[in-house]
Order: sequence, then C-alpha cells, then structure tokens
Amino acid sequence: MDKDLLLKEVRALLGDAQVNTDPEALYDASADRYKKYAKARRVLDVPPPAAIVYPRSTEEVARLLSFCNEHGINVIPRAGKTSTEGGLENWKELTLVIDALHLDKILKIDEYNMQATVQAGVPLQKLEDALRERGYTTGHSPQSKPVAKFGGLVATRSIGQFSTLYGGIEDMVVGLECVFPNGQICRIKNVPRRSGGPDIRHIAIGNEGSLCYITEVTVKIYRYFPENNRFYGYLTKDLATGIQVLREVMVNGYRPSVARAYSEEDARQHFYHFHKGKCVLLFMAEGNRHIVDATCKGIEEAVAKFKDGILEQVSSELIENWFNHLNWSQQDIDDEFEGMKEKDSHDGFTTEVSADWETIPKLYDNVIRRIRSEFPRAHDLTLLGGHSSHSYINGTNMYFVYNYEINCAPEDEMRVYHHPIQRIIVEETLKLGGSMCHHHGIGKYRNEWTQQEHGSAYFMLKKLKEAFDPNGIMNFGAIFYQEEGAKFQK
Amino acid sequence: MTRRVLIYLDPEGEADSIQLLEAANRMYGATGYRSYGLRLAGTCPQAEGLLDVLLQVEDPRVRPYDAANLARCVEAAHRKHHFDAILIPATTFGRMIAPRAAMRLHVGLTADVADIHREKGRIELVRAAFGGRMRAVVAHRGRGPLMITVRKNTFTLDARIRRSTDIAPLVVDGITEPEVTLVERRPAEKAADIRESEVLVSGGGGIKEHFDQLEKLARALGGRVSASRRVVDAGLAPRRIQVGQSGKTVSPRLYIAVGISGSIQHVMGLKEVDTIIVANTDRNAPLCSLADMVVEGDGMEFVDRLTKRLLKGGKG
Amino acid sequence: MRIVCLAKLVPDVDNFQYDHERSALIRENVRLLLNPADATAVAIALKLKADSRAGSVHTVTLGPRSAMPHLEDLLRRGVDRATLISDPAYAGSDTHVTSHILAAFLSRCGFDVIFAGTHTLDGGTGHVGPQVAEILGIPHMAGISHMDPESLSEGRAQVRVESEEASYTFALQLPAVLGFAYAPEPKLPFIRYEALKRDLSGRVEVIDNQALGLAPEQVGVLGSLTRVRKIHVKGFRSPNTRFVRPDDEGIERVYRFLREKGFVR
Ligand SMILES: Cc1cc2nc3c(=O)[nH]c(=O)nc-3n(C[C@H](O)[C@H](O)[C@H](O)COP(=O)(O)OP(=O)(O)OC[C@H]3O[C@@H](n4cnc5c(N)ncnc54)[C@H](O)[C@@H]3O)c2cc1C
Ligand SMILES: Cc1cc2nc3c(=O)[nH]c(=O)nc-3n(C[C@H](O)[C@H](O)[C@H](O)COP(=O)(O)OP(=O)(O)OC[C@H]3O[C@@H](n4cnc5c(N)ncnc54)[C@H](O)[C@@H]3O)c2cc1C
Repeated sequence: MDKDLLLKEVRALLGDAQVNTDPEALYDASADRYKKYAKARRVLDVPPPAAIVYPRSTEEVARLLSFCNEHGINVIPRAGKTSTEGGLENWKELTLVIDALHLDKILKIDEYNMQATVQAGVPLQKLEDALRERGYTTGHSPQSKPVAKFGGLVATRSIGQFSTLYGGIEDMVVGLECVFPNGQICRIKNVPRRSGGPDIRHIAIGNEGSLCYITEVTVKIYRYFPENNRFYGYLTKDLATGIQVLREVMVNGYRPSVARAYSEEDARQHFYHFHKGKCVLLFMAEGNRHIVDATCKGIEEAVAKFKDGILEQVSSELIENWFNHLNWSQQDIDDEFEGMKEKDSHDGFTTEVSADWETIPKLYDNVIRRIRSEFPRAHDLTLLGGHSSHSYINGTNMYFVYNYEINCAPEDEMRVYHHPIQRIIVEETLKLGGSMCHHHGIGKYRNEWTQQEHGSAYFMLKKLKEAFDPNGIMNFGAIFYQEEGAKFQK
Repeated sequence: MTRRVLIYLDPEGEADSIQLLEAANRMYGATGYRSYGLRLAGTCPQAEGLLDVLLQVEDPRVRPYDAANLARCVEAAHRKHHFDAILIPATTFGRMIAPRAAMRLHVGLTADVADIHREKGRIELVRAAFGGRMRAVVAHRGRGPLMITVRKNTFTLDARIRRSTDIAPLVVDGITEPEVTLVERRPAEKAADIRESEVLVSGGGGIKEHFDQLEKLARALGGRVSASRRVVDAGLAPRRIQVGQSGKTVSPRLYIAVGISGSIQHVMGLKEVDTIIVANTDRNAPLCSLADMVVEGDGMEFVDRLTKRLLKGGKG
Repeated sequence: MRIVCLAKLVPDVDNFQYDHERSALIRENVRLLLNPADATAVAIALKLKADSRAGSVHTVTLGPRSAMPHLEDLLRRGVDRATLISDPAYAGSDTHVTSHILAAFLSRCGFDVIFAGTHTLDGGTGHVGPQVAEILGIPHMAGISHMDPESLSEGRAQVRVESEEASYTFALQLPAVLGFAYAPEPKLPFIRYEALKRDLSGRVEVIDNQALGLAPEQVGVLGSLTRVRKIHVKGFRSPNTRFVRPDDEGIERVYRFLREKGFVR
C-alpha cells in the first residue's frame, strides 16, 4: 500500500474532517520533545507520518487499528504530545498518528464510590478542575498536568509531584478500556481489588502505544484539603544528607505529598533566590488535618536526627511560592520551542532513573564523576546535577538534569551531547541494579537497553508484544529495539 | 603637603570630567590638593573657574579621539608636574587613553572605580568585577601617580568651589600625525532595541493592566520599557521587548522591575545588570533577592509617585 | 592578510559558586567560556576568511591549561592556528603584565591586524587592547560595532564605534588593534560533526615563559602594578538589599538612591 491509497482508504473510513495532512502538522507529528531542538531548527531527520487521524469513538479506533493491522501500517497513538523520550517519534514511511483529540469527555464523577471515568483525550487539568470544584482531587500532578491527557499519562506510567502520598498512575487506575491491533475492544471493570489471575491492567498501563490503544480510564479520587498544606525547606550540606532524611521519613511510615532533595547545581535553577550554593531538601504535607500534623512531626524528627548535615531551614513561604509555580502550560512548552529557534543552548534535558536507598547516592556520584571526566563536551555543560523527587519505602528516584551550550550543528545535537550523557547514566544505573526509566517511559532511544533492564524477565515482555501485536504495527521502535530504526538513534 | 591631581578633560564628556573633582576630594579632602586639568585648546570651557590650573594642548594634530597622542600629552604633563593622582573619565575615549598613558608612565591603572575610601591614611579603590556581582578592593604598587578611570555619574560634585584658574600651554614632544582619523560623527539615536538601553523599566503580571503607564517612568529616566512574558502572553506588550530565556538577554545599568516575580526563565535574561530595583507586593518574590532596593507595595503607586518625583527634580 | 585574535577564556559569571562562609570564590570546576566580545571578534575574523578577505586566523590566549578544550574547538570552527601562553609564573598577572606578555608574543608571531574584544566578562577593564597597541606602537580602537570589510584590502580599517553620545566612523592605519563590542551576530560557525571527531590534541601550540624570556620579576604578581586586596560579593541574597514602601519617604529614598548612582542629575 502506498501513501495515496492509504489516505484514500482512511478518508473513506473516517471522513475528510477527521484526517489531517497539513504539512506543518505532519512535521510537528514526526517527532516529540526528545528532538525538540532539531525540530525547532527544522533539521529533523525522521520522516513525517502520512496523516494524523482523529477517531470519535472506541469503535472508530477499532476500525482504524484492524485496517492498519491488515495492511502493515505503523500506528502511533497520541494524546497530549508532552512525550519526552521519542514515544511520538516516527520511524516509518507509512504511519498513521491516531490522536485522541475527540475522545475528550469526562464520562462520570462518582463521589460516593470515589472514582471518575474519562476518555483518553481528556487533559488531566480538565478533570482536576472539575474535581476541585467539588472538593476532590485526582492526586495526580505531573509537571505537564495542564497539557498531558489520560491516554498518554496511563500509557507512559506517569507519576505526579505528589506521588509520595498518592502514588504513580498505576496506583490510581481502577479500570480501563483499550483496543488491540486486531480490533478487539477490552474493558477491564472497576472493582476495589480482585484476585482474578494476573493484574491485566498492567498490560495497558505503561505500554507506550506499543501493544494497544487506550480509549477510556477510571481513576480514584481523593478528598482535597488545600487549607492544610504545610511546607518545609532546608539547605543541606550535600545531596546524600537530603536522601538520608527522605529515607528516614519514608521508613517511619510518613507520606508527605512532596519529598525532594536537590543537588547544588540543580537547586540553582529552581531556587536561585535562596539556595546559597547549597543542596536543597523540601517537603509538603497534605491531606486531612490529623495526618498533616503527624506528617509534619515526622518530618521535623527526621530533620533533627540528621541535623549535622542540615545547614539551615528556609522560610516555608519560599517553598510555597515555588509550589505555586510548578506546572508547565502549553504556552511554556511553545515558548521553550520559540527560544530554541534562536539560542544555541539546551536547558532541561533529563534522564530519570531509580534504585534502592543504598544505591542511589553511589549511583549519583558515579554518574557525575563519569560525565565530568569522560564526556568529551564536558566544557559545554552549564549545569549538571539532579534531584530525588519520588520516594518509596525501599528506595527513590534520581532525576538527572543537564543543560549545555550547543556548539555543533543543530542536527548533531543528540549524538554530540544528549546521547553520550544518557548512555553514561543508563549504564551506571543498570550496572548497580537500578532501573533506567523511572517515569518517562523507555521511548525509542533507550530501547537498546530494554533487554538489559528486564533481564530474564524480558521473555515476558517480548511475549506480550508477539501475542498482542503480531504484525508489529504498534508504535514501531517504542520499548522494543528495532534494527531498522537504529539509523535514527546514532 | 599639598597634593597634585590631574584630570583629563574629555570634550566628549565635559561634565563627567569635571565631576572627577569629587573623586579627588575623596582622596585628599577638598582643600588637600591642587587640581590640574588637561584639555585641548578650545574645549571644555566649564572647567575655567573650577580647577586651579588648565594645561592646554595647542598642537592641532592632537584630536580628542587620538588616544596614542593624548597618552603622550598625559605623560608630558606628568613629567613636568609630578602628580599624585591622574583621573580620567571612563568615556569612550578616556578608556582608550588611560591604559596607553599608564603604560607610558609604567604605572598601574584601576578602571571604573566605583568608590574611594581612605583607610589609615591609605587610599582604597573599589571597583566592580564579574559583571557587577563582585566588588574588588584594588591596591597600587610602586611609585608614580595613582591612576584611575571613573565611570560617569559615579561621583557627584555638589559643592562647586570657585577658583581662579591659571591657563598654561602644555608643550608635548613626539606628537605624530594621527593614525586614526574621524570620517563621520552622528549624534546617537535612542536605542530602539531593549538590549541597547542603559535603563529599563520592566513590567510583569502584577501590573499588567497598567503596563502602558510604565512608559512615562521610562521616559523620565531616559530609558525604555520591557516586559516579562506574562505581559507579552496577555497581548499587552510585543514579544520583542520580552526579557528572558525565550525573549531577549539585556544588560542595562539600571533595571526597574514592577510586578515581576523573577522566575528563573526571566532572570536568565538579565546579564551584568548593575542596579536592580524591584517593586512588588510580595517581599519574598524571588527577584527581590537580586535587588539593591525593594519597594514593597503596589507597583503602580510606586511608578506614579516616582515619576512625579523625577519630574520635580532637585537634590532630595 | 593575517588576522591575530586575542581570545580570553573567562569564568562563567552565571554559574559562579561562592563560599559565603569563607568569602571566597570556589575556583574548582568553574566553567570557562570564551569571552563573548572575543567570540564576536573571532567570528568576524572567520567570516572575513570565509569571504576570502583574510588569509589566516590565529588566536592567542593567555590563560590556564584548562582553556585547552575551548582552543581545540576554535580550531574545529576554522581557526588556523591557536596559541596558548601558559606558565605558572604568569599567575596573578594584572593587565599591565598581561599586555606585556601578549605583546612579547605578538611582536614575534607576525600579523597584519589584531582583533580583540573590547571588554571581558570578568575583570572588564578594557585595558589589554590599548596597552598592547601602546607597546607595539600601533593604533587602537575600542567599542567597534561594525567594520567595513572592503577597507581592509586598502591597508586601512574603517570602523564604526557606538557610544552613548554619538556614532563615529573612524579610519585606522594598519596594522592596528581593533576592539570589537559583543554583538549577537555574527556567531561563531558551528563545529561540524566530522571536525568533532578529529583529534586535535597537540595542535594547540603552548608557549611558556621560557620561550618568551620575560624576567621573573616582570611577570605574575611580582610584575603587577595593581593587586586585588579584597573581594565582596553582591547579589544572591545580598545582605544590603534595602526595603522601602511606596510612600513619600520610600520614594524619596529611591530618588536619592538613583541620584547617588547617577541615574538622575
Ligand atoms: C513540561 C513537562 C513536564 C513533565 N513532567 C512529568 C512528570 O512530572 N511526570 C511524568 O511522569 N511525566 C512528565 N512528563 C512527561 C509526559 O508529560 C508524560 O509522559 C505524559 O504521561 C505524556 O502524556 P501525553 O498525553 O502528553 O502523551 P503523549 O505525549 O501524546 O504520548 C506519550 C506516549 O504515550 C502513547 N500514547 C498516547 N496516547 C495513547 C493512547 N491513547 N493509548 C496508548 N498509548 C498512548 C504515545 O504513543 C507515546 O508513546 C513531562 C513532560 C513535559 C513536557
Ligand atoms: C520554557 C520557558 C520559557 C520562559 N521564558 C520566559 C521569558 O523569556 N521571560 C519571562 O519573563 N518569562 C518566561 N517564562 C515564564 C516564567 O516562568 C514566568 O511564568 C513569568 O516570568 C512570570 O511573569 P511575572 O513574574 O511577570 O508574573 P507572575 O508570576 O504573575 O508574578 C507577578 C508578580 O507581581 C507581584 N504583584 C502582584 N500584584 C502586584 C502589584 N499590585 N504591585 C506590584 N507587584 C504585584 C506578585 O507578587 C508577583 O511576584 C518562561 C517559562 C518557560 C517554562
């Protein structure tokens, strides 16, 4: 099948209005934020998709998928377009992007049973606003909240800034509906818990569009008590101290909604007005009053225990002020893009990993040391550091951040800067037994390590792909390594 | 002991040159020195009656922009009068003359002196470094005059003591035909680009509905208006005057921020700004941490009142 | 036409680390960057070369060994020759000594014109250009915002200088030192991917005092005529931020402050 025929067939399937072939839109759809710099400079090396299509119902999704499955056409599911790891990047000549634009309804807010059901194209902010009006919250708050939509949030196993209290998206999803390449529509019912065999929600959650298309999601909702929010901030001697305090709070059973430790350099880009060149540790306690009181006590005790590494406490107003300016709007994203058209620098590339408590500080040191000594363009780095922002009883994450000046041609940015750094981070993480992908998904550029990430359990992952997507039409290159795509990775 | 101080009188910055008397006052006390001016014949008439001696260069080959010849003049004046200090305004040309003269005299030179103190009989020179982020105290070594340049408006001469001025021609050997010639001189146009303005009055989310009213304050200070992205987003200012990561990077000498919180993306657009004044209702707004002065309260009230005050003028 | 560019590496002012307890700069791991005005000068030189108006571009840097990767980058961007003048004996040199060291090298390396930046980000004195010119006995101009490329071929340089008062056009006899003001354009050319892979270690010529033969008492701290005695840091929670209110008293204080600073006459 060639492109013209494909377009004809798809138009016949959905009608002209639901098929977009505007060249600008297709250029935009050929890559995501992973290659945002090359994209802004208009030097993308990947092909554009044939079209972006906008189904209006689960049935239309099913029809589209079985059509593509039959004709071997690559499908990229798309929701809010905030993907950061190449999940939306196109590596095939014949590709349809299936965008959840019209799957935009909040289907039900069930206050008594504390759950809400939405279609995949509903922005998280839209549900959150509707819930807040009634005194509830989803508890999910990734920085991309104003823009990201449920399909993408579930498909990437996203996590929000209040995860230490509410968990990641996997802790929130009660049930969902998804469509497989053969057109099969599956609904997973909404129950508090069950022991009905393996938890099949997890086949859809985190699939990154490589197994199925998510059309509908039901999530838990929580009572919202903003009046009880309390904030704590500290300057610490080093990052390790911050991590020790985080651990102390967690293992004592407290669940502050925000619990973060920043390295010096990373602190500078968020807290230039008070960090004084030091590391920053901060907490937010949230929820009903009694729990907040207890949590605050737990935080104060943990801080007291490690007081030797704590340099000073920061006014809680400063932390609250930071908290109120956390999220990125579409305008922010567009602006960053605008800025990159002119400026030869990159602020805000990240690689997010996780490991147990014992490993994280070592991992951090190893990574920083290797980048400083091995990365040939280390002299172009304007920032290198990281923070821990999601803690668990057994460990935490490390969000490595690096900014640099770009002194090469825009089309070479990835291979000259990002990839060598990312490689060091991933290698060091896997070496120490951590996970190379804490919450952005594997995307298309870390797929060469997927097998190593999962080890012997990769067998299970591979079988899922073979079983659910035997023709390999779902998001070519995402999660699973593809020889044919290697040319775009180098 | 009466000291001797030489001031170079730059015809392109006459008033700024005369202000250097105040720098000399700080060094030796208003009555502790005899002031000498070095001028080209026919320039800087205002110096008459304010300095004790005017050494006048009459060789027509010496032009105000010819640093090589002017450095020879400074040297000749010093060889004759043995100054304790030589002060040169940090004007466009003063900045080129001073280093050459210092080299000829084999003396140290401190540029852009921002402050002068006397400590235990010694003169301490303070200058800004690292784009205004640091102040360094500089000491000179060896014999020879204390040589400095001073940026305009650093010292304000308030008490003008009238003196009777001796005017003496200065004979300078070794003047050459100028190797630099002026082809054209045009008065500077007011910078259209915020990057070129020395003074910026910048407005943000806190006062965005009144953004248009900042212009009058900017005008009273001879500067331009700029904006944070919040104002640009609201369609109240054009993108080309946005300061920050996705806007312009600016280095004015004075930045007045009204109703701007100071997000890191905004602050990334501020490079080497000398003086920052912030007007904000919230004294904890991040930008306050960079400010020399914070006006805590309503931004428009500040703008209105300061504009009125500026128009009224006077010493204050 | 041989262009020699003075190119200094300066500490990145934005990413400064300051030890508040000891009141000292943390110098370890300080990122260096090519002084922006010097980058403009090199970019203009490379553009002249690309337009076949200049034969070669040679950069000269006085500084620490850690400048090396930046100088290798200059070669990758099209600079023909890069010289690093580096000697522990030069540490602590003021602008007077710096100018002598540079001039000692320049007087033997050969040039038709010398390009420089007007100001550096760190010291920012603007002394080196004119002092080098004085030692070499050639004309100098600072604050150049534009140069007429045609004029170069006639053995002179016609340049424009922008000041607060006026815009001047000057003609200088060559050889001369031309000090350029920082400008966003032209930018240095990109480093091509192929050039990145090229091994340039050893291609930067390193010169020490043995080669220049300056007397030990003429260089470094010993030879310097000025010395920084103390450093105070301002900004980043500067303790001397003054708080006022927008009432009569507060406005008067702002007004007086503006006068003190010379923004109001
Ligand atoms: C400024 C910014 C801040 C961010 N902060 C966070 C954060 O705090 N936490 C976090 O976890 N992530 C964060 N991210 C990453 C990103 O927001 C998340 O990965 C988000 O979940 C993606 O949602 P989306 O709707 O934008 O999906 P998209 O970008 O449209 O798609 C993401 C991936 O999901 C797949 N997909 C999309 N829709 C479907 C569907 N219906 N069915 C199957 N697969 C689908 C796509 O193929 C793609 O692989 C951030 C991104 C940005 C730009
Ligand atoms: C990628 C990216 C790029 C960006 N690029 C830029 C950029 O180039 N430039 C830029 O500016 N921003 C940029 N931003 C946006 C930036 O993060 C902030 O959102 C923006 O700077 C906020 O503008 P503001 O401080 O004017 O407004 P606000 O954040 O709304 O702050 C308003 C301030 O006014 C104060 N205030 C309220 N009322 C009054 C009153 N009556 N009088 C005085 N003060 C009052 C408040 O206390 C507050 O401090 C960018 C963001 C991103 C993510």
